[in-house]
Amino acid sequence: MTLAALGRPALIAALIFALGAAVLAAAGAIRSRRDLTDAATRSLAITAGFVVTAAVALTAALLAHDFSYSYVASYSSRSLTGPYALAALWGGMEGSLLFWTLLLTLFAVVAVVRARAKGMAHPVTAWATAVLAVIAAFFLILLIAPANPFTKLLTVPADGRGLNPLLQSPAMLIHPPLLYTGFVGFSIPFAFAMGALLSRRLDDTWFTSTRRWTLFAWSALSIGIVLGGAWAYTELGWGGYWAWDPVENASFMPWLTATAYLHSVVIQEKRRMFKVWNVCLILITYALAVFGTFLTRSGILSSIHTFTEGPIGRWFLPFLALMLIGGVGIVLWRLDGLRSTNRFDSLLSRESAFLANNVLFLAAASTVLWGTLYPVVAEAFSGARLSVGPPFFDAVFIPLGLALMALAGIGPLIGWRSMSTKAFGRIIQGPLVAGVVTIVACVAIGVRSVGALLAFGICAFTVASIVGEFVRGSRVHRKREALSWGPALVRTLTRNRRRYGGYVVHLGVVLIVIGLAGSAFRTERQASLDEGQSMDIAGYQLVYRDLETSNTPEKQVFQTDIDVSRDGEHVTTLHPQRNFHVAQQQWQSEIAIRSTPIEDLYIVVTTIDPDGAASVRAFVNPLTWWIWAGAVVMLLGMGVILSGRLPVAGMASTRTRVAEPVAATR
Amino acid sequence: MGLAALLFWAMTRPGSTAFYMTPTELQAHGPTTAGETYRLNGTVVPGSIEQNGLTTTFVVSDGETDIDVTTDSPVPDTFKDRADVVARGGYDGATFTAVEVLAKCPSKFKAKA
Repeated sequence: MTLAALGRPALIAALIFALGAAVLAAAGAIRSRRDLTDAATRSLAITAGFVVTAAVALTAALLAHDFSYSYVASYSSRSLTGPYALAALWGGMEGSLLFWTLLLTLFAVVAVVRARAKGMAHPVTAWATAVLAVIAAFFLILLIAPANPFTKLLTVPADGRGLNPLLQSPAMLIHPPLLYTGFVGFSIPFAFAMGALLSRRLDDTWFTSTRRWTLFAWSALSIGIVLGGAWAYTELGWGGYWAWDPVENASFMPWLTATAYLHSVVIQEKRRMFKVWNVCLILITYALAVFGTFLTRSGILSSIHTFTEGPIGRWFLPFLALMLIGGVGIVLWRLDGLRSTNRFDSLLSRESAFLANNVLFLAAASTVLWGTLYPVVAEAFSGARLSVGPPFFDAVFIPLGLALMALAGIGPLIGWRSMSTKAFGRIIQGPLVAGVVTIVACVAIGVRSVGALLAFGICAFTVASIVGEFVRGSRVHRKREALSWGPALVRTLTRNRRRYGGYVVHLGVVLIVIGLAGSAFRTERQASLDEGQSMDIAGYQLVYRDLETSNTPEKQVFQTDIDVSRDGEHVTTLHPQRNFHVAQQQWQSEIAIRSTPIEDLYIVVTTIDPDGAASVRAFVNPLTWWIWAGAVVMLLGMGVILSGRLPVAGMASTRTRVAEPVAATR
Repeated sequence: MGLAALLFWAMTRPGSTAFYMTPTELQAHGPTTAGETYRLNGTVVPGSIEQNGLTTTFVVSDGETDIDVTTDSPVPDTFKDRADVVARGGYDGATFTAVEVLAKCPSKFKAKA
């Protein structure tokens, strides 16, 4: 018997223990019996153990190239070794669901055990355990019935179909697990929110104690989305990184609502407001995460990504409906306990800036949902099949995005509760001047696109506002502790990691927006070149010098030498390739990019004729470099936030008051 | 309200929405109007791909109807015989002229390669 044979029995056992955990935890919560909840926790841990066994079993089958399993034969091949053989674990539909369940059960056990160790109220933890066990049970049912990763083949093929060469890229190793980590991570705050509602413990404990999970999930999702864009940019050869494809949208929607949630919980923490709203936001976020998981596997949408049009959709819809109806029902049932303890004092207050942030993020999420589902709705009503394209999304997202960016600059300048217009006018002056100067400077160097001018102006405004915050923070530490500027800056960052780490994340977003705005100036040229011929693009001259061919066991390589010069001066030589992958019988272009902060020169060879003539498609993408730089800055900011000791439940208000000398003095 | 207005405006912009058709539907529909964008979805008939400089011609089929497609745009790597493709452009009653050809992503979630 092989290790893989353990897979299916392990999944069945996991389902039994998950159902057991759900029943025990609910009983423990209702009857206030800690012994039942303890048993539920143990049962959940055993569930996780069995899911780990199943995942190990599938991994073993993949590494052993056991093609008697349909899954292994479909997503792996003998030539596939090392990390990419492992990537097949989440490379197919069934495996990706198993991976989802694996993350879910592991996260659930860690979260429940930690919550108990940190003294979370018993009924909240018990209900959260029950919710998590029910979600795990649903996914386990999928894995046992319609999406069984351990289906055997009657005839064993000699080799598997392998993994598409396009997917054999380092970004593809990390991108899917990061997205799943993000999606699954939101289960934890969702479950504890439901736990708090069901047990009527409606203080802030549920979100303060799951904050680390929320931030972790959000960070993973953010980086996962950027990596997906980076993969598309460096592998697909159309010169772009985001196409508003339904699958991209599926990951973007929960990101938008989660971002709204991360901001609005701050209001609840500081001002005891938005309580209903926060519970709703985490419910929406998790529903969208599950919806995204479902959308990408249902076949209900036509996407450039293809999916198994399997029976999964029929299973997901009732689950999603149950989650939404149940969630909304619980919120309504507990509405009386969710009243805000405070009201808005003034329109000019940080509360209203946060409110505006939420409205804009929700508008953005609704737009994506509308654009993604419109084809389905239109077909149902008129019978006509339509698709919604990038012009729609761009038209909505440019104004929404710029407004949000401006808000990231305005927000930090306004105090809590209320502020006089005069004080606000004084503090906003500097950033406004920075914005206007930038716009004038951009006009002077010849930028004429209104959208790009606004984008650059707003980015400068926001950067100036954030830099101002750091300067003011450091000045306080400098005076009080007699430090020089450097250590004072570090002190500012480490004393209130959440606030200043958040600003660093905002700076990263500003850089990304600068990069996105650069796409307004993209140039594209294509030409069919014989050896020795040249083409011009945006001031560059590209000369096709030479073609070198070679063979490896996997592919025939056709490598071009393209000399790049500018104003007669040699800049670099790029080597885009056009390769034929033998196993897949597929041509694939390897893109060559010369990336600088000013612009990317991006060259793709789309065909190579037998006589050596090459069809060359070239792009000059200004400022794209800043997108990846911005993502790195965002990651650093997230690191700062996550590295700090987050306020322990119940201590939140006192701690933040001490740690915020700057806000207090204003 | 503001969002509804913004959405409405965005939806009516040219290129925002496109009709999505199979070869059979497109043939029944006939020539397309200039200014409207159409997306034609089908599979590439084996052996029909011809490359001539930057121009690619091929035949898209849904098993019932075949439609000739011509494009000056580069085709993606996953574009090959039997690939599931979406061509965006217009149809004059005989040939579909595409400004963009997309082949469905070799996604991880695909059961049959």
